[in-house]
Amino acid sequence: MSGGARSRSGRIAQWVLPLAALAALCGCGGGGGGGGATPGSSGTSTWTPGVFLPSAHFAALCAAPRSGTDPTSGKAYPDRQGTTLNENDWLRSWTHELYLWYDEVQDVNPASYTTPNYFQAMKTTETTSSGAPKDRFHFTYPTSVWESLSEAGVEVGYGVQFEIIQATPPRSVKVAYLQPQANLPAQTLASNLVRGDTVLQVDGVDVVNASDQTSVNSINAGLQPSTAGESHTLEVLDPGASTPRTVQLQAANITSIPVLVETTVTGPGGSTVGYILYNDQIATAESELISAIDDLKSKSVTDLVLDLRYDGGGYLDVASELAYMIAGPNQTAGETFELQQFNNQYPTTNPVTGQPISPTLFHDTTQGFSATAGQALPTLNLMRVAVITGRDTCSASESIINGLQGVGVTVYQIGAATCGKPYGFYPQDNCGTTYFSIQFQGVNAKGFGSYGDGFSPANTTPAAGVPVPGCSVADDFSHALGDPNEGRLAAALAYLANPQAATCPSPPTGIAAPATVSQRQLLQRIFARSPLRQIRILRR
Amino acid sequence: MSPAPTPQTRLRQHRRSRAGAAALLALTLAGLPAFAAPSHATDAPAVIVRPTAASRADLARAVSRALRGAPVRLADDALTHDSLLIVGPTPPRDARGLPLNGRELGRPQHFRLLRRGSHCTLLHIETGRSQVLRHTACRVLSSRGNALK
Repeated sequence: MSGGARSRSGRIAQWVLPLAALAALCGCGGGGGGGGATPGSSGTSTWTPGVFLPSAHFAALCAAPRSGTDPTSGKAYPDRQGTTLNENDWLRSWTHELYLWYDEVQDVNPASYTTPNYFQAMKTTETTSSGAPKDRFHFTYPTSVWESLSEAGVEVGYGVQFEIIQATPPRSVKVAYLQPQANLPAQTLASNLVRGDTVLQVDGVDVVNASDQTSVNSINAGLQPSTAGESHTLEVLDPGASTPRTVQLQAANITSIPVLVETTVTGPGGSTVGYILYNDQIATAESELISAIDDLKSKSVTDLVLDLRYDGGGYLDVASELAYMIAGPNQTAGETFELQQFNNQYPTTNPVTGQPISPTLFHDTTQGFSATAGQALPTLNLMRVAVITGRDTCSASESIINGLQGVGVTVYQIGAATCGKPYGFYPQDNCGTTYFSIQFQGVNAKGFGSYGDGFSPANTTPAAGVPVPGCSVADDFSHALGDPNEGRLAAALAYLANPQAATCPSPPTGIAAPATVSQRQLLQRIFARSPLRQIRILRR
Repeated sequence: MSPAPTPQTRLRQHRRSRAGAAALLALTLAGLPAFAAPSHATDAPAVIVRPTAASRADLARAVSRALRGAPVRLADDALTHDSLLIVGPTPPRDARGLPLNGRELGRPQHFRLLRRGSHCTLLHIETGRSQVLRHTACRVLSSRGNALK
């Protein structure tokens, strides 16, 4: 299975797996074995439904082999001359081996598809209880781009996070937040953009009403620049203003601050409530979160409002650290923060690493992301926490909610439904394309991980996802994040004051289901572009 | 739009980040193992001074070389405030801007800029390998995080 070993020498190998684990991987990656498609020198195969050769049999047999050196291994690419059919055969076997819902994939003839189309066929067609597709996270990415590296938190942009409120005409695009002034390019600083600014035009194109693809492309390019030095002109309307103004922005390599706000606010009965705005679970978050918790601890906070509304996930270990810092040792000692569950062919062994499946525990010490490893983490020792969420609250960010609930910490949810991504990947390169196909589900200490429709405040209308006590509240762009008058924070404070008889604001309608098929399709229509541009466009 | 309390809070946050960096440096200098205390007797954590296009390219080349040639994006002010540089996969995003792989199971790579004699040296902490940055000027950081001339 040496071909398999080479094919897995992608970025996972560099960042996750030691070489020894790769060797172990080779020993366990086989599927059904025997029979099935057999590659010939001409690339022909005999497809036998329900019979699968090991994916290693087809790995690195490429219609267009790469030449040169793989930067992640320092060795020559393993690619050999093959065919589109070989690549499809590999996808078919790999999916059968590792895809979480492999037994829900229709076994269709690999000779009848292009490789991109065949990959799209290699997923479940089942739906969740809400009617949304069960698998909304099935991607490919050019390996050369996927393997690119960056300094933690550094990406091209203006230092401005735009939020798409309404994706179709009449569109609504607002400024959600900006990075700290010291991290902003000069032109962004001079623009005086603030949270709540409405973007009306990008480079002269009407953001609100434009409907043709050329205009949409211009909007995309202007809102999410791809190259440092790019300049674009935006027409914006400030909150409360009636006359738009024009600002010129120039993109740069921006360093994001993951914990953008940490403060205290006055809570129920004059108590001191901590507030953390946590936007990005990147490596630098570890030391920033420690500082934030240390500070809140020194101020003897009795409650915490954790604002995850723009937090799309990231390092799971950092999520575990934060959950521990909130709950403290009494509730978490030796407990599972999250356990990976693979498909039923691998009940005890991680099929990618070859190692026994073991849970990510609540980490009580630093893990060495940006703080020195092995240091005791500070704790707030809270029995309850209010979490502010929105449709961008996703993946490892949702793990914080689920992990805390798993050890009995009471979580109140204020805002809108989360994205619903209890799943994860081991991205895999083959022939220059990196495939993201769901391979595991994360469950908490109680074994729960079925939140494919997200978590949502209990009074959400219409009901969506897993209900959590709390209030459905729209994002309030008229107040700064961290302002106790901001709608979601105000609702969180009110809820904490009296959860038994909590009075939520009248729930908004239409914000509960960010992950619905229709909304996602609309977003993709509006922001249709190459995979690379898709990544750039709504980047915050 | 109510301004309170964000401007002050952001300022505090920024100060806290700097304080955190200083604390991290102090821990490192105290000999804690994870971020590889300098291995040579003359090694001292350092920061880049007067970065230029040449020094930025020098740094990017060294980091890329240490990571087997993978392309890498660094901030223009990389290693000018802190001697620690953290590098990881660029998190690709989906159409909504969310990380494609929102459950990242890997670990980033760490580099420490050291003043070794008269040279600015970049230490790759995970491998212990170091490279001299020939087009880079640097100065030693004090234990309180202040740059010393």
